Amino acid sequence: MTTTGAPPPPPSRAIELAVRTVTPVALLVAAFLFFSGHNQPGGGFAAGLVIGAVMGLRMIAGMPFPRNPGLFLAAGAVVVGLTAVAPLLWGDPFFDQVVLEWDVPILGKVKTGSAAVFDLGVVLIVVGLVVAVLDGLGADDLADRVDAGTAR
Amino acid sequence: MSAALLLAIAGLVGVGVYLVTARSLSRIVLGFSMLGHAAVLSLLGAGGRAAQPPLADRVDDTAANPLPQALSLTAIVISFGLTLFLLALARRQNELTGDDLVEDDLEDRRIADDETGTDDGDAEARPAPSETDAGDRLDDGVPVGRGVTTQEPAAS
Amino acid sequence: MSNVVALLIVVPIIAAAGGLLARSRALLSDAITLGSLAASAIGSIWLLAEVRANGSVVVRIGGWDPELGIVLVADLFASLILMVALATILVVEIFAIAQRRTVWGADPEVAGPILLVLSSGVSLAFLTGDLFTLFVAFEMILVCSYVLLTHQGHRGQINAGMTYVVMNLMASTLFLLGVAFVYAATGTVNMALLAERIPELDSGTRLGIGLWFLVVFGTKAAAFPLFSWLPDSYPTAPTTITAVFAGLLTKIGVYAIVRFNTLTGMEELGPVILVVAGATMLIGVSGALAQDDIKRILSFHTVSQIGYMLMGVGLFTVAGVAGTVIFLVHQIPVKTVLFLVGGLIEDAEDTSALDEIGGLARRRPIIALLFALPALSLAGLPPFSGFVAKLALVDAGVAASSIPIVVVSLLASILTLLSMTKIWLNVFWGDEPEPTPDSPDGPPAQDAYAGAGRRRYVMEATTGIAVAGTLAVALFAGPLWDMSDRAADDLVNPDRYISEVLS
Repeated sequence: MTTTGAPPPPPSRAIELAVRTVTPVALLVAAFLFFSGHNQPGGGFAAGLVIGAVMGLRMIAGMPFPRNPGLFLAAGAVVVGLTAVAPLLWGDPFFDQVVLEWDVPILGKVKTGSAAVFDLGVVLIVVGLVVAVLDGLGADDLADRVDAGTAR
Repeated sequence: MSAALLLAIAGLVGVGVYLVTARSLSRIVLGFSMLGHAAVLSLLGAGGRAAQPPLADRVDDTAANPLPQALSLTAIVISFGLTLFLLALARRQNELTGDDLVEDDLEDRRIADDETGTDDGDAEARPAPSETDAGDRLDDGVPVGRGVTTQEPAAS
Repeated sequence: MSNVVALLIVVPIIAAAGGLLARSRALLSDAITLGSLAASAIGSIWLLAEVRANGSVVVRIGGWDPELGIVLVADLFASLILMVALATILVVEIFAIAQRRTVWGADPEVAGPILLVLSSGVSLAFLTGDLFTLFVAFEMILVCSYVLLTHQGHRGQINAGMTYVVMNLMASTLFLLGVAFVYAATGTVNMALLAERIPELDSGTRLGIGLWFLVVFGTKAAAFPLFSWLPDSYPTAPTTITAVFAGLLTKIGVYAIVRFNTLTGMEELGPVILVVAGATMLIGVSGALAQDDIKRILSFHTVSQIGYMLMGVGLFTVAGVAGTVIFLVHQIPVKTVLFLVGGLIEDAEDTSALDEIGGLARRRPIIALLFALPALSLAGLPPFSGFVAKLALVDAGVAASSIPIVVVSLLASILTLLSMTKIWLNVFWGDEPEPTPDSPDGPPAQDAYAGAGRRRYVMEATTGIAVAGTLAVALFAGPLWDMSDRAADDLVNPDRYISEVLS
């Protein structure tokens, strides 16, 4: 990756359109992975990675994406930490979890618990990590390229 | 553990070790991801055959052993983070020097030069902001070690 | 009590998040970092007192069975070392805050939160009762150390950081493979269960596992011949970062060696460890003699001192392991303090190269005093803590009639004194060298910063407190000896550990 030389061409419209189309689908997939993670393959990490991939695609296409990884990381760490120590307040063991089950009309039996909250923290941390690395790995270069492209 | 799994682990370790001993950090990153996969596969292999608990205390049960999978997942997460960090490091090195080579340690070179009597003077005493470019030296054909780890003249 | 064990690991993480959010407000961020570290240190003192009085505290995370879940075990060894480690991190953080905005200081917005995550990882490494969580803790510590080492992005730091990352990542990968082997052989990663099952394995598998983990932990501990990454990477980091690294990181490797080898009864590896220990002592100290930069000399000494700790483990006697415990307690603060003094010298002289400094004892006598005390302690002169620690080890060596290692350790001590004298003669005595014309890369004069004088006092006072701490180790040698002996007894005869965890 060179940082000098002629300005690279602006990102193509086709990519932008594709990313625009893919974004909601990918977020839906992430939500599915997040909720299926309780008993099936998936979970917070996988969901976070899918959301992170969306961020990466938006970066490549020169579209805006959240640029404050510190916020994601901090929020994630707080959620994870609090879920870990919360059971101590009720005298339960460290990292104890509560499992809840409901019978919901259309979805059938829904099983979730405090582990899902922990997973939410994991999602936030993973997204924060991906955004931080995207920033470090060249989002600035691409932003410059977009600026150069629009200026022309 | 099946023979195919064993062969896959052996192959991954072989390729991984070869890549990790390279000078270029981008190859090292690839090497570590190979080694990481090998480690995850061997964790799965350590869990015994599918739907069987591990070797010790083996009982007839239909449940698969969850522990190796939990361990593998954690290992995957960690190697993911470290790969990202290595890539960021490689990029920073690229910004600084135009390549991503693991370089020799300047202080080591200086001490070694002192001993052999080819003192370059004290102008390059500080390692961090020094103008002496180890990368240039490398290109100039000065015979320096090509290993990943830097040399220890005082020790060897 | 078990809540304290859990909170020691979780609170720093939450505080790190707070510090990260308050990044733009330096005062608030510092207050959060300091408050959390102080709370951790106090918690660990409380834990130590409790464990000393009432025996180990065992926490089962999520209430799971040890076979499946993670256990945290605070026995005497773990809580003693943890207390020293957390107190050391606290002192360093105060120093770091005083040193902020200088060329040699770390960036506090980054370093503060990451130091908190590091301290959480350190707590986890000491308290964990299973091998895989130890791996996770090592990774937490290493990721933090990678970032701390390279966060300023200077050329030398990136170079050294790459060596450091590659070597340590290799060790981590081997660690993970080793965990897989252990799991395949025994079906568990819980250390108490391993202590029961590994001695029952056939000797080939057992020694294979033992040697594998000796390589892994030996790399982390910077033992011969796997130490080459340390003297290259440590000196390039900001002073405070190097102080934490040198004081703590390699010692966690030593801790893991002690824990793993004693628990699994790898007594056949004793001679191997002794050879490694002797070579580490001698090669580390001779490396130090060849160097002419304060930080690099001290880095090589870090390697050399690792040899002493391994010596105690290699003897596999209660006295030997007790010597290692005392040496760890002595070494963590002393090494950190020496690097902090190195930072004071750098701050005063804008360099750490020996031949560019001279006559500092006349201009800054306080720094000279602050250097002399821990340096003499490091060399093992009475009445300092280093003497107590080395006496314990030599005594154990003679008792186990391992005379060669005793001779090597005494020789290494003399050489240590020699290289400390070298620093003393060059830096504190002698004439001030001609002021060389400032190179354009050189840092600007320190007085350009506002409040330089007050900052200097805080740094000196912090170092002074830390030096007093190292002296206190010698002062409380009696109770310390007692505790180390009890801790070593539990380590060498792990039946109590096993029953406490599994019951």
